Amino acid sequence: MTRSRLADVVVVGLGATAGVAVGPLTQAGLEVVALEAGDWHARTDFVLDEIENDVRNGLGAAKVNHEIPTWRRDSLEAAAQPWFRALMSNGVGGSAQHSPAQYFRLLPWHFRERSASLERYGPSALPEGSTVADWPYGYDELEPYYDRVEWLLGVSGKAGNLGGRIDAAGNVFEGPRSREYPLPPLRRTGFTELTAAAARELGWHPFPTAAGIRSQPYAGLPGCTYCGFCAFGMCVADARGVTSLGPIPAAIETGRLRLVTSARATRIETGTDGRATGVRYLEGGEARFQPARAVIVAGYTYENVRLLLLSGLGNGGGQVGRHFTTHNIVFASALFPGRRLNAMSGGAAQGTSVDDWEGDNFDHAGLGFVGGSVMQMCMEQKPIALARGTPPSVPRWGAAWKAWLHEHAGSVGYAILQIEQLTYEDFVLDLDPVVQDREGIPVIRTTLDFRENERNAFTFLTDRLREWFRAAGATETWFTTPLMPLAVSSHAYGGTRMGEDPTRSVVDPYGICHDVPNLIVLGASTFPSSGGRNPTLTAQAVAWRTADHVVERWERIGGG
Amino acid sequence: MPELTAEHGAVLAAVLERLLPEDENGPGAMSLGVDAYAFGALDGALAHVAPWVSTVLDGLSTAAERLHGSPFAGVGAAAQDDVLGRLERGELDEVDDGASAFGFLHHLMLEGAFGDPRHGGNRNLAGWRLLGFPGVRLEVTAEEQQLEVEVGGRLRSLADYPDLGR
Repeated sequence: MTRSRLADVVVVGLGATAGVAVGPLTQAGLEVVALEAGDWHARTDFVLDEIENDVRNGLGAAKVNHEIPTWRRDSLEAAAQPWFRALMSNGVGGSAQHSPAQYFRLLPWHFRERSASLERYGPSALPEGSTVADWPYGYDELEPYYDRVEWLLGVSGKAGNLGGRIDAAGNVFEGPRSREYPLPPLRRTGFTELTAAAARELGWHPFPTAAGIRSQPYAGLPGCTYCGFCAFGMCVADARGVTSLGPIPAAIETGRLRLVTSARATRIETGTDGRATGVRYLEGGEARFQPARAVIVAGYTYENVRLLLLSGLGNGGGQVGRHFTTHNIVFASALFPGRRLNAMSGGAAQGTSVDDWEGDNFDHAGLGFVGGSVMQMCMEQKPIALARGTPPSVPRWGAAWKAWLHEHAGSVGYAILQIEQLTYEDFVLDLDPVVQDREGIPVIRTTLDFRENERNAFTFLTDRLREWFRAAGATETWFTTPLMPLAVSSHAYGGTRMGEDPTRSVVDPYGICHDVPNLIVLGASTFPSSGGRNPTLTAQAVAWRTADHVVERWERIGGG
Repeated sequence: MPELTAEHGAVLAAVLERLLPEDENGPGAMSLGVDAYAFGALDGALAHVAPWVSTVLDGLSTAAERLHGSPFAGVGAAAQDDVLGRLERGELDEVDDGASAFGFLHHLMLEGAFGDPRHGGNRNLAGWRLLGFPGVRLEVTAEEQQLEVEVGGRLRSLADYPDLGR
């Protein structure tokens, strides 16, 4: 086995989170080696092609597509790879490279979801068996890091709460922010304005969706051209705020980040003192070892958990894989008869959002659930998805289907909900006892289902969405996603939860493993609650905070 | 298409044409090249499911013979629709998990009709014309994203951008 020179830090996965963390680490003088399973992707590849990207997930060819987790509803069921899934990708910059990049902060309430729910709704507010927890810190602690990430990447949006001053042009429900967004929102369109006006008529508080996409050139990088092929492909304009443009090249420039692409981590090794000593990986079929003073695991929720389980690390409290959840992602379409919406362009993050039905922004008394969802009206209708997503009132094939498409395809608008699902005692990630990847390594098995809380949330929130569509002039609303858990999801949470208590969490409030003092975990696998909104910005803010901590405490973490 | 015989090809083409028939609203699957797309995919990116697809197509033929007296490709359109409807509802004894099999064939049709023509289907971009999809554009103007605006210009696909696409 080839052994490389000792590094200060070895990072597994150079995506959205590690791509942020390598900045502060290298600037502090630490020598970092990053192992990335994929390769660099150029803006000319994997673009403008719904078959290659959305259908076949070409960006996941290196690793993701060969290790799709299995799913079962409960421990009595046999697990199988589900057909309904939203896959990650491999490559420098990570899955954020193919994300439509809605870039919201969590609301302050999400950081204290358990205690706030109990305070407002009483001791039975949370369903039995739910393990949803408060974060070990509040929104204010993370605000400076949210701000830094937004300004690092060039996030586009409109502030709704500038240091306590509310501005109805932005999200009036957001926590106070220290600065305006670095860039104005993505361009407004006929459809985004139609739906914004409808929300205002309902007395709601619409705002332009916050986007991790540059609305204008920023920091020497280009702005969005609204091509209409955003999700699941590379950005042909290089306008997405990804770490592969800017942060990672800057870290490489310091001379202190060595990047190994097509490197597949297989095991974290430890010494007799219990400290991590480095990472074993495969490169071109050859086994190698990268020794390091500290190990950062940043390979996305499923892979973080898988690597810890395969290495037998961090599980002293039996917590690795627990507190797993995803969003109930609902795509809904609606027919605006006779209208030409021109929504077959732009990106999903070019949209109108409301937070009136998210978090605890509405009274949940008697509703039978906690939490909610941001609601987004979106651009970016792509042709295969549009033709697939016809309403159930119409046959889905044959002459009648074709006639419906011919008449109505241009009059369909769509929206996305990402309904918060609580964590429960029995919804976990573990290693599948049967299914393996090409290397013969067990894939992750998910156990996840909807409970009464989740079903009630779905009914209530989709009713609100129907109201919104109706107010905007739609006559019929339907769902184009099935009502089943999206267990294999690019919005996956938990498995390495952070907390103070080693019997209820895997990592401490800074992301350091309770059991292994130089093993660090980045990503939404550490979140104690998810919120009903996209995870990436929060995962990056947390990663930056962790990196700062590692630098400050390097003597202890790096072992002197 | 090593797993699929010429007979399988005929059944598959007939299935795709019933899913997307030629009529006054535009070309059907055959004219769009959806069959060519499907054959190419089953010989390439989807080769791993070709054996399964061949058993599904065999099942359809046997079912057509039982229900309508001839193999699938030889019965009329109404009889083919009847067999496909039964497949979709999971009612055919000849095909295990018919709903999933139907879902696969249905999605193959969607890909061939509405995907980029570089993959072999959507001939003359007629699939996109059916939807009013404005094609592959590197830059979309503010005007083109307004309500009721008619988006003009030549319809383009990836073939118009030779430096793009893997």
